[in-house]
Amino acid sequence: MNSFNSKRIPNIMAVIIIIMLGAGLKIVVDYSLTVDKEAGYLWAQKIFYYHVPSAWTAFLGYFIVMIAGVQFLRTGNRKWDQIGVASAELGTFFCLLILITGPIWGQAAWGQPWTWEPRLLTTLILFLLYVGYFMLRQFGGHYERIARNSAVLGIIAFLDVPIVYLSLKFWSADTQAHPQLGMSEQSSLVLNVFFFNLATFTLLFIYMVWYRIHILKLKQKQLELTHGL
Amino acid sequence: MDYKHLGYFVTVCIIVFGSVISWWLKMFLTERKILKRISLLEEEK
Repeated sequence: MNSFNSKRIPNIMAVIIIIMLGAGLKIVVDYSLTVDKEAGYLWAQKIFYYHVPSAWTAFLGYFIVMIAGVQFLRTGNRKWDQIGVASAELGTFFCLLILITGPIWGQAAWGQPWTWEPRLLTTLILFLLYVGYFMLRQFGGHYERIARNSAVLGIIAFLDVPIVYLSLKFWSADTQAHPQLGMSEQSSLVLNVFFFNLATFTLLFIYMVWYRIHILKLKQKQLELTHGL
Repeated sequence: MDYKHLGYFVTVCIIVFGSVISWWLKMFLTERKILKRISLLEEEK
Protein backbone atom coordinates (compact mmCIF):
# COMPACT_ATOMS: atom_id res chain seq x y z
CA MET A 1 0.00 0.00 0.00
CA ASN A 2 1.42 3.38 -0.99
CA SER A 3 1.59 6.59 0.96
CA PHE A 4 -1.49 8.77 0.61
CA ASN A 5 0.70 11.69 -0.41
CA SER A 6 2.23 9.76 -3.29
CA LYS A 7 -1.15 9.48 -5.00
CA ARG A 8 -1.94 11.97 -7.69
CA ILE A 9 -5.55 12.98 -6.97
CA PRO A 10 -5.06 13.67 -3.21
CA ASN A 11 -2.02 15.78 -4.07
CA ILE A 12 -3.95 17.84 -6.61
CA MET A 13 -6.79 18.15 -4.10
CA ALA A 14 -4.39 19.30 -1.37
CA VAL A 15 -2.94 22.01 -3.64
CA ILE A 16 -6.45 23.22 -4.58
CA ILE A 17 -7.46 23.31 -0.88
CA ILE A 18 -4.34 25.28 0.12
CA ILE A 19 -4.99 27.81 -2.68
CA MET A 20 -8.68 28.07 -1.73
CA LEU A 21 -7.89 28.51 2.01
CA GLY A 22 -5.36 31.24 1.19
CA ALA A 23 -7.69 32.97 -1.29
CA GLY A 24 -10.58 32.64 1.18
CA LEU A 25 -8.56 34.30 3.93
CA LYS A 26 -7.55 37.11 1.57
CA ILE A 27 -11.16 37.68 0.49
CA VAL A 28 -12.45 37.56 4.07
CA VAL A 29 -9.81 40.05 5.27
CA ASP A 30 -10.01 42.45 2.32
CA TYR A 31 -13.46 42.34 0.84
CA SER A 32 -16.03 40.67 3.05
CA LEU A 33 -18.66 42.74 4.78
CA THR A 34 -19.83 41.80 8.21
CA VAL A 35 -23.07 39.94 8.66
CA ASP A 36 -24.52 42.01 11.42
CA LYS A 37 -24.78 45.62 10.28
CA GLU A 38 -25.80 46.80 13.73
CA ALA A 39 -22.50 45.54 15.10
CA GLY A 40 -20.76 48.25 13.12
CA TYR A 41 -18.70 46.15 10.74
CA LEU A 42 -16.46 44.82 13.46
CA TRP A 43 -13.58 42.51 12.68
CA ALA A 44 -14.95 39.87 15.00
CA GLN A 45 -17.91 39.47 12.67
CA LYS A 46 -15.53 37.96 10.11
CA ILE A 47 -15.22 34.96 12.45
CA PHE A 48 -18.61 34.00 10.99
CA TYR A 49 -16.89 32.99 7.72
CA TYR A 50 -15.01 30.23 9.57
CA HIS A 51 -17.49 29.41 12.32
CA VAL A 52 -20.47 28.57 10.11
CA PRO A 53 -18.54 26.50 7.50
CA SER A 54 -17.10 24.54 10.47
CA ALA A 55 -20.66 23.88 11.64
CA TRP A 56 -21.77 22.82 8.16
CA THR A 57 -18.79 20.44 7.89
CA ALA A 58 -19.43 18.94 11.33
CA PHE A 59 -23.08 18.30 10.44
CA LEU A 60 -22.04 16.81 7.10
CA GLY A 61 -19.66 14.51 8.98
CA TYR A 62 -22.37 13.36 11.35
CA PHE A 63 -24.76 12.83 8.45
CA ILE A 64 -22.20 10.50 6.84
CA VAL A 65 -21.80 8.69 10.19
CA MET A 66 -25.54 8.06 10.18
CA ILE A 67 -25.55 6.81 6.55
CA ALA A 68 -22.47 4.63 7.21
CA GLY A 69 -24.14 3.27 10.35
CA VAL A 70 -27.27 2.26 8.44
CA GLN A 71 -25.20 0.67 5.67
CA PHE A 72 -23.01 -1.20 8.17
CA LEU A 73 -26.04 -2.63 9.97
CA ARG A 74 -27.53 -3.60 6.60
CA THR A 75 -24.47 -5.15 4.97
CA GLY A 76 -21.97 -5.81 7.80
CA ASN A 77 -19.22 -4.58 5.49
CA ARG A 78 -16.17 -3.28 7.40
CA LYS A 79 -15.70 -0.52 4.81
CA TRP A 80 -18.78 1.28 6.16
CA ASP A 81 -17.46 1.08 9.70
CA GLN A 82 -14.22 2.73 8.58
CA ILE A 83 -16.16 5.48 6.76
CA GLY A 84 -18.28 5.99 9.90
CA VAL A 85 -15.28 6.24 12.23
CA ALA A 86 -13.40 8.63 9.94
CA SER A 87 -16.47 10.86 9.52
CA ALA A 88 -17.21 10.80 13.27
CA GLU A 89 -13.64 11.83 14.08
CA LEU A 90 -13.67 14.70 11.61
CA GLY A 91 -17.21 15.73 12.49
CA THR A 92 -16.07 16.01 16.10
CA PHE A 93 -12.91 17.85 15.03
CA PHE A 94 -15.06 20.49 13.34
CA CYS A 95 -17.61 20.44 16.17
CA LEU A 96 -14.78 21.31 18.56
CA LEU A 97 -13.86 24.19 16.25
CA ILE A 98 -17.49 25.41 16.50
CA LEU A 99 -17.31 25.25 20.30
CA ILE A 100 -14.03 27.21 20.34
CA THR A 101 -14.73 29.84 17.67
CA GLY A 102 -18.36 30.37 18.79
CA PRO A 103 -17.51 31.70 22.27
CA ILE A 104 -14.82 33.97 20.77
CA TRP A 105 -17.46 35.46 18.48
CA GLY A 106 -19.93 35.52 21.39
CA GLN A 107 -17.49 37.51 23.53
CA ALA A 108 -17.37 40.19 20.83
CA ALA A 109 -21.03 40.12 19.80
CA TRP A 110 -22.80 39.44 23.12
CA GLY A 111 -20.18 40.53 25.62
CA GLN A 112 -19.99 37.02 27.08
CA PRO A 113 -18.54 33.82 25.64
CA TRP A 114 -21.28 31.42 26.67
CA THR A 115 -24.94 31.49 27.58
CA TRP A 116 -27.10 28.50 28.34
CA GLU A 117 -29.42 28.97 25.40
CA PRO A 118 -30.76 26.30 23.00
CA ARG A 119 -28.31 26.53 20.08
CA LEU A 120 -25.23 26.41 22.27
CA LEU A 121 -26.62 23.78 24.59
CA THR A 122 -27.72 21.41 21.81
CA THR A 123 -24.32 21.81 20.09
CA LEU A 124 -22.55 20.94 23.34
CA ILE A 125 -24.82 17.89 23.73
CA LEU A 126 -23.98 16.86 20.15
CA PHE A 127 -20.26 17.10 20.92
CA LEU A 128 -20.67 15.08 24.14
CA LEU A 129 -22.70 12.41 22.31
CA TYR A 130 -19.75 11.85 19.99
CA VAL A 131 -17.31 11.85 22.89
CA GLY A 132 -19.47 8.94 24.11
CA TYR A 133 -19.18 7.39 20.64
CA PHE A 134 -15.37 7.36 20.90
CA MET A 135 -15.48 6.02 24.45
CA LEU A 136 -17.66 3.20 23.19
CA ARG A 137 -15.19 2.47 20.41
CA GLN A 138 -12.33 2.46 22.88
CA PHE A 139 -13.88 0.32 25.60
CA GLY A 140 -16.80 -1.46 23.89
CA GLY A 141 -15.46 -5.03 23.76
CA HIS A 142 -14.59 -7.03 20.64
CA TYR A 143 -14.63 -5.54 17.17
CA GLU A 144 -18.01 -6.79 15.87
CA ARG A 145 -19.76 -5.57 19.00
CA ILE A 146 -18.02 -2.17 18.90
CA ALA A 147 -18.84 -1.68 15.20
CA ARG A 148 -22.50 -2.64 15.64
CA ASN A 149 -23.08 -0.57 18.78
CA SER A 150 -21.27 2.49 17.47
CA ALA A 151 -23.29 2.30 14.22
CA VAL A 152 -26.48 2.41 16.31
CA LEU A 153 -25.14 5.26 18.46
CA GLY A 154 -24.10 7.18 15.32
CA ILE A 155 -27.65 6.93 13.96
CA ILE A 156 -29.26 8.00 17.27
CA ALA A 157 -26.77 10.85 17.85
CA PHE A 158 -27.55 12.30 14.43
CA LEU A 159 -31.07 13.09 15.68
CA ASP A 160 -29.51 16.00 17.57
CA VAL A 161 -28.28 17.67 14.34
CA PRO A 162 -31.70 18.88 13.11
CA ILE A 163 -32.48 19.91 16.71
CA VAL A 164 -29.34 22.11 16.73
CA TYR A 165 -30.38 23.70 13.44
CA LEU A 166 -34.02 24.21 14.37
CA SER A 167 -33.37 25.15 17.99
CA LEU A 168 -33.66 28.87 17.18
CA LYS A 169 -37.11 28.26 15.69
CA PHE A 170 -38.26 26.12 18.60
CA TRP A 171 -37.11 28.46 21.33
CA SER A 172 -36.35 31.72 19.52
CA ALA A 173 -38.39 34.16 21.61
CA ASP A 174 -35.61 35.36 23.88
CA THR A 175 -32.49 34.06 22.18
CA GLN A 176 -29.68 36.32 21.16
CA ALA A 177 -28.47 37.12 17.64
CA HIS A 178 -27.03 34.21 15.70
CA PRO A 179 -25.35 34.31 12.29
CA GLN A 180 -28.16 32.17 10.85
CA LEU A 181 -30.74 34.86 11.60
CA GLY A 182 -31.24 37.33 8.77
CA MET A 183 -28.89 35.44 6.48
CA SER A 184 -31.22 35.79 3.50
CA GLU A 185 -31.18 39.59 3.91
CA GLN A 186 -27.43 39.85 3.45
CA SER A 187 -25.81 41.34 0.35
CA SER A 188 -24.53 39.06 -2.40
CA LEU A 189 -20.95 39.98 -1.38
CA VAL A 190 -21.48 38.48 2.07
CA LEU A 191 -23.14 35.40 0.60
CA ASN A 192 -20.52 34.86 -2.13
CA VAL A 193 -17.64 34.94 0.37
CA PHE A 194 -19.62 32.70 2.71
CA PHE A 195 -20.35 30.11 0.00
CA PHE A 196 -16.73 30.19 -1.16
CA ASN A 197 -15.55 29.27 2.34
CA LEU A 198 -18.31 26.69 2.60
CA ALA A 199 -17.03 25.00 -0.59
CA THR A 200 -13.44 25.16 0.71
CA PHE A 201 -14.35 23.52 4.03
CA THR A 202 -16.39 20.83 2.26
CA LEU A 203 -13.42 19.99 0.02
CA LEU A 204 -11.12 20.02 3.06
CA PHE A 205 -13.48 17.64 4.85
CA ILE A 206 -13.55 15.21 1.89
CA TYR A 207 -9.73 15.25 1.75
CA MET A 208 -9.42 14.68 5.52
CA VAL A 209 -11.94 11.81 5.56
CA TRP A 210 -10.18 10.20 2.61
CA TYR A 211 -6.79 10.47 4.35
CA ARG A 212 -8.21 9.07 7.60
CA ILE A 213 -9.86 6.11 5.84
CA HIS A 214 -6.53 5.40 4.12
CA ILE A 215 -4.81 5.26 7.52
CA LEU A 216 -7.53 3.02 8.98
CA LYS A 217 -6.98 0.63 6.06
CA LEU A 218 -3.23 0.68 6.71
CA LYS A 219 -3.86 -0.11 10.39
CA GLN A 220 -6.10 -2.99 9.36
CA LYS A 221 -3.38 -4.35 7.08
CA GLN A 222 -0.79 -4.02 9.84
CA LEU A 223 -3.07 -5.91 12.21
CA GLU A 224 -3.60 -8.68 9.69
CA LEU A 225 0.16 -9.03 9.12
CA THR A 226 0.87 -9.02 12.87
CA HIS A 227 -1.61 -11.81 13.55
CA GLY A 228 -0.74 -13.66 10.37
CA LEU A 229 -4.26 -13.45 8.93
CA MET B 1 -9.05 50.14 13.65
CA ASP B 2 -10.67 48.04 16.34
CA TYR B 3 -7.65 46.08 17.58
CA LYS B 4 -9.57 44.09 20.20
CA HIS B 5 -11.91 42.62 17.62
CA LEU B 6 -9.07 42.18 15.14
CA GLY B 7 -7.43 40.10 17.88
CA TYR B 8 -10.52 37.86 18.10
CA PHE B 9 -10.43 37.29 14.35
CA VAL B 10 -6.68 36.56 14.30
CA THR B 11 -7.12 34.10 17.20
CA VAL B 12 -9.83 32.24 15.29
CA CYS B 13 -7.64 32.09 12.15
CA ILE B 14 -4.71 30.70 14.17
CA ILE B 15 -6.97 28.09 15.82
CA VAL B 16 -8.63 26.99 12.54
CA PHE B 17 -5.52 26.90 10.36
CA GLY B 18 -3.30 25.64 13.19
CA SER B 19 -5.59 22.74 14.03
CA VAL B 20 -5.90 21.67 10.38
CA ILE B 21 -2.11 21.76 9.92
CA SER B 22 -1.57 19.86 13.21
CA TRP B 23 -4.11 17.24 12.16
CA TRP B 24 -2.39 16.77 8.78
CA LEU B 25 1.02 16.49 10.45
CA LYS B 26 -0.29 13.89 12.90
CA MET B 27 -1.78 11.84 10.05
CA PHE B 28 1.43 12.15 8.03
CA LEU B 29 3.58 10.88 10.93
CA THR B 30 1.13 8.10 11.82
CA GLU B 31 1.03 6.95 8.22
CA ARG B 32 4.83 6.91 7.98
CA LYS B 33 5.09 4.88 11.19
CA ILE B 34 2.54 2.30 10.03
CA LEU B 35 4.12 1.99 6.56
CA LYS B 36 7.50 1.31 8.19
CA ARG B 37 5.97 -1.40 10.41
CA ILE B 38 4.18 -2.97 7.46
CA SER B 39 7.36 -3.14 5.39
CA LEU B 40 9.21 -4.70 8.37
CA LEU B 41 6.45 -7.28 8.84
CA GLU B 42 6.47 -8.10 5.11
CA GLU B 43 10.25 -8.52 5.19
CA GLU B 44 9.94 -10.93 8.13
CA LYS B 45 7.49 -13.02 6.13
